Amino acid sequence: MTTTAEAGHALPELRKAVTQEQINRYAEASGDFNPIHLDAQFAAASSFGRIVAHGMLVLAFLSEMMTTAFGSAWLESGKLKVRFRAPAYPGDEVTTFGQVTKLTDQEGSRRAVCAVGCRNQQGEELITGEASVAIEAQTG
Amino acid sequence: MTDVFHIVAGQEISGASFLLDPSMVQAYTSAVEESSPVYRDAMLVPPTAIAALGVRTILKELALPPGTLHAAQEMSMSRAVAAGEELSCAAKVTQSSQRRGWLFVVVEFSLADHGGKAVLDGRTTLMVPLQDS
Repeated sequence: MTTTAEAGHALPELRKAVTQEQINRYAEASGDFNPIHLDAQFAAASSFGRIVAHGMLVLAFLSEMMTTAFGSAWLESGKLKVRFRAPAYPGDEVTTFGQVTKLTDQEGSRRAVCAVGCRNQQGEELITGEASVAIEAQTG
Repeated sequence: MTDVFHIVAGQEISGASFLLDPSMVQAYTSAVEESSPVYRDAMLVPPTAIAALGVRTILKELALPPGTLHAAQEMSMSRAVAAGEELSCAAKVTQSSQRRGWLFVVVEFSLADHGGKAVLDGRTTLMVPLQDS
């Protein structure tokens, strides 16, 4: 674990540029070929008016932040609950954010609870939610 | 395949297995530019990759129309999963309701390993455009 599990501690911020090429590669890797991510003509007629990135692609950035902060504990014990509030568009720069809000004891283990999310370059929140992960018992 | 516009809460979605093929996992980590050494060195699979591939397996059964949006996601991991593992998927629709031109569908799913032990549980909320129905 690389993050100090104390309430108020900020998680390491990640910045990622979203590109159409990346969206295309994500579609191939995930098997999600929804035309709202790939077809400019289809997307133009949608409520967004243009192509949007897969929500799960942007969520992967947030998960990477949790892995950076908590290492393999995130893979072994992580919990995540998020809402996709706004889309990321090709050309956007997405920044993750997170902060430990409290420590709780659940089912015999101590967990760090974090407020997490992603913003675009205008500061608009794209994803918001809560994540938690089991941490080693603190002594002393 | 199930027509999403005729689905009801409580309806189970036929389970399927899927292989976390190492080349597919590599394509995923490359696409999302995941750089954590835990994935590269130990050949572990990012939880979002497991969830995304699990959700894909489920959604294949729902015949979703183009333009469907992902509104919310929950996931809970029980253990790290390595590339090359095969997971089985069980899913159930827990909510289906119409609001402001959208059909909101909530699907709860559980992904289990070869021994039947859960590795990741999730809850996906979809917004399906009604004008395409």
